[in-house]
Amino acid sequence: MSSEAHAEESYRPYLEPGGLKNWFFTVDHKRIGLLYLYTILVFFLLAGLCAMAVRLELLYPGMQFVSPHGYNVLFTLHGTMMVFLFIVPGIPATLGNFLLPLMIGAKDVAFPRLNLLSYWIYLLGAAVVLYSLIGPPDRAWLDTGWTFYTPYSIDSSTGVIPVTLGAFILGFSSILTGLNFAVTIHRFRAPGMTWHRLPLFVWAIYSAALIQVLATPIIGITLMLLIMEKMMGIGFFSPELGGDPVLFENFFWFYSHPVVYIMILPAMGVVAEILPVFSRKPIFGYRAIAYSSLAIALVSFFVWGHHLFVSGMSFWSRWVFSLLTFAVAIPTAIKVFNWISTLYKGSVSFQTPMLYACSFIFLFTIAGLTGLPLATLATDVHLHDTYFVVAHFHYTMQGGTVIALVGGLHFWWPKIYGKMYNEKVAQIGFWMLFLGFNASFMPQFILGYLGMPRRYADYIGEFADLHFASTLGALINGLAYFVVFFNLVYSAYRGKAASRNPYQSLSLEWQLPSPPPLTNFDEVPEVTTWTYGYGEEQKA
Amino acid sequence: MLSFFTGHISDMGGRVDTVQFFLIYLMAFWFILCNAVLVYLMLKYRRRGKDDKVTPLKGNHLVEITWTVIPTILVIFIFVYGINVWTDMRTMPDDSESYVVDVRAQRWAWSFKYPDGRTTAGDLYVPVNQKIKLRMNSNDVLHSFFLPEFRVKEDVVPSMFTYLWFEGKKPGTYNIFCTEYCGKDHSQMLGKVHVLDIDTWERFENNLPLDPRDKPLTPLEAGEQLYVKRGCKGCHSSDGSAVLGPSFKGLYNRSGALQDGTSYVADDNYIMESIKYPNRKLVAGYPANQMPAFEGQLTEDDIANIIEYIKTLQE
Repeated sequence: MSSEAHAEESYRPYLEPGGLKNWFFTVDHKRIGLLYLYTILVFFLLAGLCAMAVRLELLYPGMQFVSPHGYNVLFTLHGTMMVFLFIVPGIPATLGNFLLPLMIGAKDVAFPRLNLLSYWIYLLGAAVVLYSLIGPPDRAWLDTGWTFYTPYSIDSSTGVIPVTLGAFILGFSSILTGLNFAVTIHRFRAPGMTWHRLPLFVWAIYSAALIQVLATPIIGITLMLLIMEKMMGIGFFSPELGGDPVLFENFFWFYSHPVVYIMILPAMGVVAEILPVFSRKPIFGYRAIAYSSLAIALVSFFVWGHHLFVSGMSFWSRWVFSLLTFAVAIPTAIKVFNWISTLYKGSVSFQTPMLYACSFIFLFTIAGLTGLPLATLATDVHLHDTYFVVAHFHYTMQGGTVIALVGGLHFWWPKIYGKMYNEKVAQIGFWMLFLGFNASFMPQFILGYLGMPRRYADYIGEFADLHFASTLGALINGLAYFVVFFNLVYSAYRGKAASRNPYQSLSLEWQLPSPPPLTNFDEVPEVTTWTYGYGEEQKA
Repeated sequence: MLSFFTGHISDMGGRVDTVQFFLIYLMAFWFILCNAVLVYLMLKYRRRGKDDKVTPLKGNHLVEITWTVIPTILVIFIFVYGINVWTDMRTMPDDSESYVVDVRAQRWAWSFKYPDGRTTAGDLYVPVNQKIKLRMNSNDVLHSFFLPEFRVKEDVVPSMFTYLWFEGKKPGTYNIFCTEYCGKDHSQMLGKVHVLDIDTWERFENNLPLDPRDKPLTPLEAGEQLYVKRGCKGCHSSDGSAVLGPSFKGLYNRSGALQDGTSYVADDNYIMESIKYPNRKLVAGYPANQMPAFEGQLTEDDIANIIEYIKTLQE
């Protein structure tokens, strides 16, 4: 860093100048990352409030607060907003946008204007989804579930068309982001930043980007077919028009299963970045972790059939999809073992980001292992469409992706804002989140095993105690997010100034001032070593 | 009756539970192993000071291969074990060795048609120790027929027949849940399976009250039961409140305008026709294709009973 002194003189953080115009028309990847972050957090809040309403209604058997239709609207809004507006853009659009060019030593992504366009398309898609809420709630508000299963969605007079059109538009945002990232990683790596020196977060984003580009068009076409059937009466899915309703399930999950890995792979990348820094040790099994991301991305395209295990699909289809589904378990297990081994003979400190990374491993082992009885045909027949599935995917989505996003935000917050959050409040928030989450979803595994079906506005008395416990947990879980995000946002304004590299990371982004300057690197950095050379040249 | 073990209710349920508990022990083993090692490493190598000695291990081929091979062998074993049990679950018994019931799903009720042509709704009556084969079809959207105590489930689809079999070895009453989301009253689309002992089954087959102490139902009682069990209640209120269809309150002998401009009087024949073919004479202001046709689903006796019930709902 010979030019450091020079850079310091003309240093101006990317956060300046302010003003709405400078933010909403920026082509800077860091600013676009923050635009995405605050926008998706708004939908996270709305979708989270829907979840709270759902849980409150389930506190006791019988209907207390909303009508059955109102309940169906709530879980539909919760799922739709969480999936399409929060967790699919999720880590790639926020931390990915902010970090990817910094980590590979580039000044920006390959197509900065396209990057801004994808944000604007996201806003448009979100507006179209919200448009479905205009109108009388009992007639207009979507009640099909986020899966839009036919023929129910064909019959439904609720806002199927605006919501699916919105999801169609959002798909383009996702495709453009994925395309942009894939090209950036291929073409914009600094000299010496070979594929095997890339941070694992970049490998994870790359694997997710491939899925975004390859799988998203399928959901676009599927939703178009649905809209065409609804508007023009072309019989793709309705049996009375000669269509096949189960075909829609196939199309839908051909995208929506790979999309699960768009959500979780970047989260795994975040964890692989945090673990070595706080263990002061190289990541264990770098290549195994990097290639297992690609393996998961590949296999993810061949397992959609497990969503149709009781759909009337043929005997041998179920047989084959069960086998293929088990194939996902292997690269996933490899990742977990390597993460854990990273701590071995290290010097492990437990600041907030590390607490999140370790709890990710804890929660993700539950998420992954409970996938086994769902891949096993004999047991899935019973567990299918019960709360066991609900608990399983919330352990991956919230216990995995959201925990990693929040942990990653804590980790990179000093870089993003140049400010340090309050460690004590952050740890209180962490424990509330961790305990609340487990209290909320652990009872749901038992509920599901006993046979409680999902998407039920009401339930028989035998399930009452477990639902009650789950709702109490959910309240703590929800409250925790207010503590966590209040602490982060407050610190952005009032926090103590953070140094350039408070965690002594060796990754490129930490070698820049905090917050980084608008153009990132004044000179193209020359990369000569691996990202994870902890423990050799430097002591903790 | 919902429980963790169902081996006493059916053999298949017992076999599924064996697989399930094998997996639970396996999951517990790996969960404890992974997290015990994690926590052990967290504590053992926690930072003590700036001069901690760190060993810069980057990986180890032998362990990588080991922890790739072991899970691979394990999941193949689980797959084969699961397939083994599931194959028996999904291999339908021949019609000759089973009692075949037709299951019809429509929002939000189940109805059952027995080999002798009789139908019931909401309640499925079957003999104990006999393979029951269900041939299922939906009148409207996707549903799913779930018997939690028997550990079996299969979607019920409008475009094709799907099949399910089970065999109860303990007389009793068990749950039926719909597990594919089907709209407003999805969570009310419940039913019961009554596994009957030999004597009670004979009474059922001879159309006698199941409990010998019971008197046969009066037409009014039977009509009120049908009103609830056949799902009329979901769309036609009994108290005059507006739901999807016209309320039954004050319906009998009511007159009004039809969609095509002619008028109707809700007498016995009109109600009979509207239950069998709902789209023929639509009351003005109500959309078509909302109600399934009950032709072949309800007998003339059933409909007469429902009319008796409607007669009692005066303004």
